[in-house]
Amino acid sequence: MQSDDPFLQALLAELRMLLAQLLESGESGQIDLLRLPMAPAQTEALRALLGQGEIVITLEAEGPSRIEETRLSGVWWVEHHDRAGHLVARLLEVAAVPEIVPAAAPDIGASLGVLSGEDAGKAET
Amino acid sequence: MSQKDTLGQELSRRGISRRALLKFAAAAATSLALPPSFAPAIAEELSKARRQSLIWLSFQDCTGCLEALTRSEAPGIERLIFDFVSLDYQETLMAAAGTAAEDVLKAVAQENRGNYLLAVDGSVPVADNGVYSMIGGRSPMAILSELAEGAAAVLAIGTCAAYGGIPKAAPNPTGAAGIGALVGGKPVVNIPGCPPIPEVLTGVLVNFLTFGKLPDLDAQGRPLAYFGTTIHDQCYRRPYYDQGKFAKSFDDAGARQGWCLFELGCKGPTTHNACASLKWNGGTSFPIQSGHGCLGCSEPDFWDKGSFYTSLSGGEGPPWGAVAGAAAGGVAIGGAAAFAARRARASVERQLAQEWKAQEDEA
Repeated sequence: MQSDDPFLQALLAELRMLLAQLLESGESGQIDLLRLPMAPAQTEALRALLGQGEIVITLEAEGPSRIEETRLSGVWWVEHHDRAGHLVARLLEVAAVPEIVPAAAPDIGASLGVLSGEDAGKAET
Repeated sequence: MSQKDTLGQELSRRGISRRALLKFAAAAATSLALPPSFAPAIAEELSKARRQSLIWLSFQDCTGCLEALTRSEAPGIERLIFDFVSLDYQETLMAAAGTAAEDVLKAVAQENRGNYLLAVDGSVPVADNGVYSMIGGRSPMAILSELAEGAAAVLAIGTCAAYGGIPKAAPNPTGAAGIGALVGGKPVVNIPGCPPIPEVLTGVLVNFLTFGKLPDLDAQGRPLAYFGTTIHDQCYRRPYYDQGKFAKSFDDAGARQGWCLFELGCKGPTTHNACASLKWNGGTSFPIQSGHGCLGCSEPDFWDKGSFYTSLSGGEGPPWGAVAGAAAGGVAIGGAAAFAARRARASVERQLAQEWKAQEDEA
């Protein structure tokens, strides 16, 4: 995967490094695309270069988010929007699964509490 | 929401999920120029934060700063102010007025003495004992001195509060001054801009709530995360500057190809702000992306630094004088002259086109 644009070449080199890190130590990494001085055309070129993988996740939490696997497995294109639909974060996340996706232990515990409460309620009736 | 409750408890009560907080933290990390890997830590610390009292004063201002900040929808400045921060006094937004409002101010300042943040927009008139902007019979300087003394820190919001801004422009009849020049013994964070970028205020507040301290500042008292580099250094048109490709007029071939606006007076090389990365209106655009040079509005005395259309190297920019002079003549002496003025403008445009072509041929 190559680009003639030196800026995109540097980004691809960083992705290469983050993927190697993920493979070796399991540590995930992110690149904040909104803070980089990229022209809109460069963002589009990067998105086209990375292509589309098999998974698309949509998240509804105080506004929509779209999490797309790129054709590089382990590299995710993440865009968060606020309630008004404005883009507030655009990240490249290098991870098996982006950190925001899995359910967290306290939430799982809360779910257990809900079901246990329901079970207790049924037992009482 | 009680001030003893943590933000996490409040969010949980409102059914706002951990993922929503993580998402907000990701946006905040982007805004604060922190590595995105900081987002989980920001979310964790924010969820433990307690409500922060904020008192907001307005002096010689046009209300543009407040308009920009409260109309921002990303990453949710209104939500931040009203949910994370207790906005205890703001004359424009609060329902109370007159003596009732003044009583609220006194009570809040006393109750939160030493802990509240004091935000100020607008400059302070100090000439003639401040008679140019009296509030409740008191001068802005008297109100500022009293409330700054009990504040944890002071946020000077907008260029007028930071450096005096447009009210301070020559000849400065009201003796307008910025907050930093008047308040001693308290940390002052300048968040300049005309208006300031809403996300910068969000970032400063999130920094305070998350890390319990104000962000690192530059020599002008501005948060380094946002003002550490120039517009020019972050500008997507910068490669054209490096290649010597400059637009010579706002509608020439270079302008249409998005070339550098330096010769049209862009102040990006001497202006520190985050417009080129954070942009405006939910990341839609910023002045240079929209085809106009930077005015340098986040720098001290930007209004008195000469024409917005004179280049920093001293060039005169487009031949506005010739165009405007001819057009003004046309209005004054009738249709024939107006026709001549249009011809004069067309002549200028032809001349620019010829210069442009000669440059292209040379290249």
